[in-house]
Amino acid sequence: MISAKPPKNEAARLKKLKELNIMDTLEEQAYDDLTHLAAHICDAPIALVSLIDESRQWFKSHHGLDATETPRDLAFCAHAILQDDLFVIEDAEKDERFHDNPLVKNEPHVKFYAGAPLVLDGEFYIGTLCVIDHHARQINDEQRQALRALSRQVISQLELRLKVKELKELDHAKDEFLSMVSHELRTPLTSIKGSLAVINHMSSLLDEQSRSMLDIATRNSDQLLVIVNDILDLAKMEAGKLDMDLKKVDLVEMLQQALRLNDSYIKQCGCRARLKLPEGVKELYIVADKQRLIQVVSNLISNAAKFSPKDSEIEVLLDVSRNNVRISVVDYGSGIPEEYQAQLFQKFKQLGKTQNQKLPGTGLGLNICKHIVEAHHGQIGFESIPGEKTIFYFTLDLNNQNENHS
Amino acid sequence: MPNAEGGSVEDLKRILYVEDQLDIQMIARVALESISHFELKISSGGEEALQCIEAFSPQLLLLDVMMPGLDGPQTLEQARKLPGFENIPVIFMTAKVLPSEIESLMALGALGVIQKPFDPVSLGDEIRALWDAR
Repeated sequence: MISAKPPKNEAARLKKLKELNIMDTLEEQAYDDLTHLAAHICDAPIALVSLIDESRQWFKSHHGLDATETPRDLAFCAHAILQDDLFVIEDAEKDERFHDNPLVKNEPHVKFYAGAPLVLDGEFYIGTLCVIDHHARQINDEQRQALRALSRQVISQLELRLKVKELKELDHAKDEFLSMVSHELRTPLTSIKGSLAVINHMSSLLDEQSRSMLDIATRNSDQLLVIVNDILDLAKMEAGKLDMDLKKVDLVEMLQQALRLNDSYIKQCGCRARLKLPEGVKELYIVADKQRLIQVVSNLISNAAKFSPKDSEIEVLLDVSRNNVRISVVDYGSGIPEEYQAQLFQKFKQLGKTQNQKLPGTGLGLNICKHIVEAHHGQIGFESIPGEKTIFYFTLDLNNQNENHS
Repeated sequence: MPNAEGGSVEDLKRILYVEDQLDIQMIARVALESISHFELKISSGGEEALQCIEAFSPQLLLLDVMMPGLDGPQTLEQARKLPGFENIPVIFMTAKVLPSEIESLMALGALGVIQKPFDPVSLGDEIRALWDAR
């Protein structure tokens, strides 16, 4: 028996294999499908995806064979990864490299072998897709073509695996970066907002002009904090990592709280707000994330206030039907121009300056609302009658509420 | 005694605040001394805090989390090794706001985590509320 020498770039090859992080992982359908096909097409009882590390060949997929690994110095595949094309042994008993190999003489009685090397990046021969038979035989041209084609599919799977790993690492780095940015922005904001609050606390000492300057600085630093929070929220939502704190929530109380939070902004916009509940409803419990719902309603209310004419009223409505609740916020502003309607829930989309005379937003609010409502398995939408009014609404399902009645 | 064991009703007076940002130190001083009338000592880092903790004998540690040198949790760990401070109550003040980050701070036995930016006008009340809810 003659064992195969290691390939010239053995160290780099092993590094690439390690990078795949695939050795001793669970079986996967994609690889099993390919070995099944290889065995079928080549009319062989055994087909393997074999990967070769320092000391052994390990099988990511083993069709027709129970073993999951064998020592490297016995491996036919260790020879196959030294070839550029198929490595075919038609009769192992007549080949000086294999005739006394235990894998030939004993189980699994390898007499015929054909293996296509698995090559990553054109230079790293990490293993093979191979077929094995128990008697000496040949492999025809079509079968050779098929084995090559299937080996390319195995390589695609491996490349995909590397790509997924890379993306996961990038995603993790993005999270860390966002957390860092959020922290770095919050620290100076703490100083700005803190000193403004202290001055506000002593504002009886200020003349009117200084006080209005102070108001501007306060409002804008508040806005900056909203942006920082929005960006962090959005990043979490897009990563599917929105933490939902699901509890029993009284929607009536939730709406009142959202209104209170916007009290000063509504006044600042020169309008009023009113909560309209269905006849006889004093409370309505649902399982949801209360703070997130407040965030949605609050966002809709501040949008409504922003686009409400002076002295008009904003209506916040709660409607209950058999299967769901609908929460709507109505403003009697000029409505949403048709050309903006389609992109309303997209991020960083805002109405033009002429439509939006008051405080600027981040362009993230409605997109975040949509994420939150959908995380509650609800739907968000709007109806706008130009020159008359706009209704933003979202629905929450009353079914599938396991802890609803207690 | 530096810590209030056994549910005794002890008013909170002496707070040791550890914060590396000078601007935030100054705002906290206004908030906790002028507005809320605590007896406040501020250290710019964990090492400095550990040197003065025994002489000042605070009832409560108020700790920033990310600091050069000893960070907030490390400062707490060291402080709790000092005799008499094994159970010193602690509140963290942090700009880290991810739920996982807050959970890990609460797991250290904190009375609470106050997020930055904080409101200096209500900071004292917030700290008293956490103290009373011990």
